[in-house]
This record gives sequence, structure tokens and C-alpha cells, in this order.
Amino acid sequence: MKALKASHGTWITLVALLLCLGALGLGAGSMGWQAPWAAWTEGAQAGDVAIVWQIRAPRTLGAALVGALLGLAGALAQGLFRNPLAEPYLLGSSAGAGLCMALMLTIGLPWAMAEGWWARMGLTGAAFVGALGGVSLTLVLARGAAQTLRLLLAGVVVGVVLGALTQLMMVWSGEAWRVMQAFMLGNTALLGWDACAVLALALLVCLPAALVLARVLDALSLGEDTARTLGVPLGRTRVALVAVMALATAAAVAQAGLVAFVGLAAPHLVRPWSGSRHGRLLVGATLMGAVLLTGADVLSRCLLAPQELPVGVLTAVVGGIYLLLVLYRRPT
Amino acid sequence: MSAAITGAIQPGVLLSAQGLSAQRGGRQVLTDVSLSALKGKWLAVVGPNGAGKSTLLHCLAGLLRPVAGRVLWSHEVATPRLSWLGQETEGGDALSVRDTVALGRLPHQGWLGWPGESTADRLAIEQALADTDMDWAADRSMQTLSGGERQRVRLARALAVQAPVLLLDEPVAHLDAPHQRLVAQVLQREASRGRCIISVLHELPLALVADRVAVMQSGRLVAQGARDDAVLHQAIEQVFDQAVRIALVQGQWAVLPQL
Repeated sequence: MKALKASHGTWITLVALLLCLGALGLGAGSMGWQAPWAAWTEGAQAGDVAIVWQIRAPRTLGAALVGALLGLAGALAQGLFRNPLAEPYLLGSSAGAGLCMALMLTIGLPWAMAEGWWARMGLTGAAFVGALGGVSLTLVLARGAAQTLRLLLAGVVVGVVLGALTQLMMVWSGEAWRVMQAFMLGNTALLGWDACAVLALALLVCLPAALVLARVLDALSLGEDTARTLGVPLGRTRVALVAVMALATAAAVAQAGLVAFVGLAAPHLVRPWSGSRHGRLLVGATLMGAVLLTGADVLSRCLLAPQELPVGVLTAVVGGIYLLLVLYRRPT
Repeated sequence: MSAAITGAIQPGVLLSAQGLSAQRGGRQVLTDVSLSALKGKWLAVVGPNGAGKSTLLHCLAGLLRPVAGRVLWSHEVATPRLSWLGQETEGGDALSVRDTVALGRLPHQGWLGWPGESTADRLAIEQALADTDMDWAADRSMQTLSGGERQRVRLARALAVQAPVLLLDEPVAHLDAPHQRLVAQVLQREASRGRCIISVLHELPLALVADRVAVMQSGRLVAQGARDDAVLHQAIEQVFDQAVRIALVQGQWAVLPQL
């Protein structure tokens, strides 16, 4: 049984790698599927090498990392709130992150627009604060996370209100409007090596932290009272789990904008084979998230070629249908 | 959990409730309840619906802060102090039976569950699964089990803690007669090993197998005594509105419905 589960993990990793290689060969330009290999050869033109290593490679790696972070955040949200429909986008944390980014762009536009590592870190920090605020507001409005419908409604309300505030900010500042348009739709086209570094750092922090807290999620699945009698300090662990979820969401949103439903679908898709414990589910959802967003990125480049579809539009359409299916199949 | 007080109480008493009063949603549900749980004894708490039995158990476990009174633990109770089986609907459908029972060992491993299972943990898990007749389903998912089988797994998880005090809210709910008997035998054995068991029970014949019985009504403790106590039997018949009669049948206390 364990060997079977391990083989599933290997398959997902292989699919992710194949998608990444495929994504390197896709895009505007004269190169074809041979692009990743052509860029290695001595006879390769400087322009082709630059396209692969400065545009396609960071974009592909960035998309995989964004998907991985969103998959992880979704698995954490579903375990923490004991609610299979919880995910960063539906909990208002993505909207909160977007609002704080808009605020940052409006107030400190020249600095926030600066290229480089520190500007990325600043935007990620602002998004982190916003993500924490968004999910906290949803939980307050929903009076906890016990009732699925109340949680979803509160998340929708927070998402709409914070989204409207974000729009207001953008109207206020024309320059911010231009920059935020790409973020609002969810976009992987602007991912560079700086963004990849921030995303990789966030994943390096979030995944180990989540795995350390995996047994707490197992205990929480038995109910709050039981978890408390098993010695789990609920208050502290909840804060830690929300912080990890918010950081993963914020890092993803700050680099690629609002990408919906990857966090919802990834844990659902791996749950049948990931086994019972949250440790495996968290790793599986991280890998599946990478596969989903890399796949969506490839599709977004192919569907309307030579034009590109923002990847967030694609995930919203496909993910929305998936959410409806999940709701339809739930008994209550 | 709310801070429990450890102090000097009478020898042989592991846990003592002193003048406990509690509220739920602003409504008084427990009023001035005092009782002692003795080492090596099984205390059954009975009473009609809404008598405050579960609330009492929550206060004893530290899951609900009383508005008055206190819960006192003996110095001799080592951590982990209690095993808990509540009435709350437990999720964890995706967990396997063994993984669910293994969570009972968290208090021994530290709440992060690191570095993992020791030999003692594995033995305790296997013992708890065998005690509840669920060892055959160790690798099965919880969502494939019936209500009674799930209840036995939950009880196994509580037994796996191997704490000196067991607080069990309706441990035989959904169980068939053979498995009710099995659970009663396991609880008697655990008591004989020096553990203290407090269980809320709606199955009166089973409650009369316990060493002592506490009777509750409208949030108050109205009687307490040994299972053979005639005054206790009268109190049980009274709180259940004379709908049952307790009689000695072939050397065992039987509860006969009065239709």
C-alpha cells in the first residue's frame, strides 16, 4: 500500500517535471520543443538562450512554485478549519493580500515598482499582512469555521468588499491601476528570477513548518475537545497554522496575483491516494498544486496562441466548475 | 484546557469536584455538584436528558470553566492525567483506524508527535485495538466503518492514552449487546489496574455494573452510592419518572421498563 502511494507521488513529480520541460518550449519566438536543449548547445543564438533562461525558465519555475504554495495553503486551510471547501481564495486571504499590495503600490509606488529582490520582499510582506487580516475578518464574520455555508458566505463577502476597496485604490492611482490589472487576473507572465527566489524562500519556510504541525492537524480532525485533551495548545497552534497559510498565500499572490481554486482542488485531487495522515497530504497537495498551475500556465499560452490568456482566468473558470461539482457531491 | 488545581485530597481520591456550577449559553446547567472519583473504581453518571451529565464531564476534563466551585486533582496523578471520549462528532474520516488510535499516544510523544512511535506506543495501540475488537480493521479508513465500529475506534483511542483517569461520555453509544459487554469488561479490568473511570451512561443495566453510581437531575447531583444501594435505586426510578424499575434477577441488577 505504501509503495503504491509512493509511486503516486513519483508520478506527480514526473508529470510536474514534464510539464516544466514542455513549458520551456512554449511561447512567442522561433524556437520549438527543442528549446530547452537548444539553449544548452554551443551553436545556440544568444537571443534564444536569453528567451529560455531569462523569460521561460523563471516563468515556468515560478508557476510551479506559486502552484505549490497555493496547494499547500489549501491543504492547511482545509485541515485547520476542518472544512473541505476552505481555501485561501475563498477565505478572503487572497483578497486581503491583493488589497495590501494595492495600498503599497498607491502609497509607495516608486519604491514598490523598483526591480529586484527587496521590492519583491516588501510587496510579499504587505501581502502577508493583508492575507492575515483577510482570513481573520472572514473568521470573525463567520463566528469560527464550524459551519461550511457561513464560512463560504463570509469569505465571499470579505472577498467582494476587499476587492472593491482594491479597485478603489486602483482608480485613485492610475499608475497602480496599470500594474494591478495583471495581478487582479492572476498572471505568470511577469515572473522573473527575483520572484522565483522569493517563492522558493517562502516554500522553504512554509513546507517544513507545515510538516512540523501535521500531527496537530491530525489531532484537530478528531474535534477541538479531543485535541485539547491530547495536549494540543489550540490557541498557539492555530495562530501558527494561520500564519503559515497566510505566508504561503501572500508569497504566491505578491508574485502572480489572484489565482483562484488551485488551493481548493489540489488537496482534493491527492486525498484518495495520499493516505490518512496530514503529513502526506501536505506534501501531495504541494506537488499537485505545482502540477495544476504549471499545466494551467501551459494551457493559457496554447489556447489563444499567439495571444496569452491570464492564468488566473483559466483557473477561475475550471476551478469554479470544480467547486460546483464538489458542492453538488457533498451530502450536506 | 482551563487550569486544573493540584492539591492534597483524601487518600485514594484521584479527582474531586467541589461545588461545581456551570453555564452554557447563559443558562445554568450545573448547580453545586460535588463528587469524588476513587482510584481503582468505576463511577457511572446517570440521569435523564439535559441533567448536566456531559457538562459535568467537560468541567472535570477542564474543557469548560465552571462559574463556581473547583476541580481538584491528587498529587499522585501523573501526566497525561486523563483519557477523554466526548460526544462531539469527530471528523477524521480520512484517517485509518490505526492512525486514529495512534493519536491517543500524542500526550506521551509531545503534541508535535515527534520523534514518532516508541515500542510502548505500538504496544498500547495494539492493546487498545484488541480490547475494542477492532484489530481486524486497523488498516481500514474510518469512513468505511459503521457507527458502532467508529465508536469502538474512538474508545480505543481513549484507552490508548493509558491515563490514570478516564472520562467517557456514553462509551457504549451505538454498540450492540456483545460489544457493550466487552466494553464493560474492559472498563472493569482497567479499574482493577488502579485506574479511575467516570462514565456517563444511558444504558442503566450497564451503569449498575459499575462500582458506584451518581444520579443527576436538572443540573444537580441527587444521589450517589454503591450499585447495590436501595436508596440509589429509588433515586434512579424517581429521576426517570418511574418509567423503569430496578430488580434483582438471578443475582444481577436488572432494569425493567414500566409501560
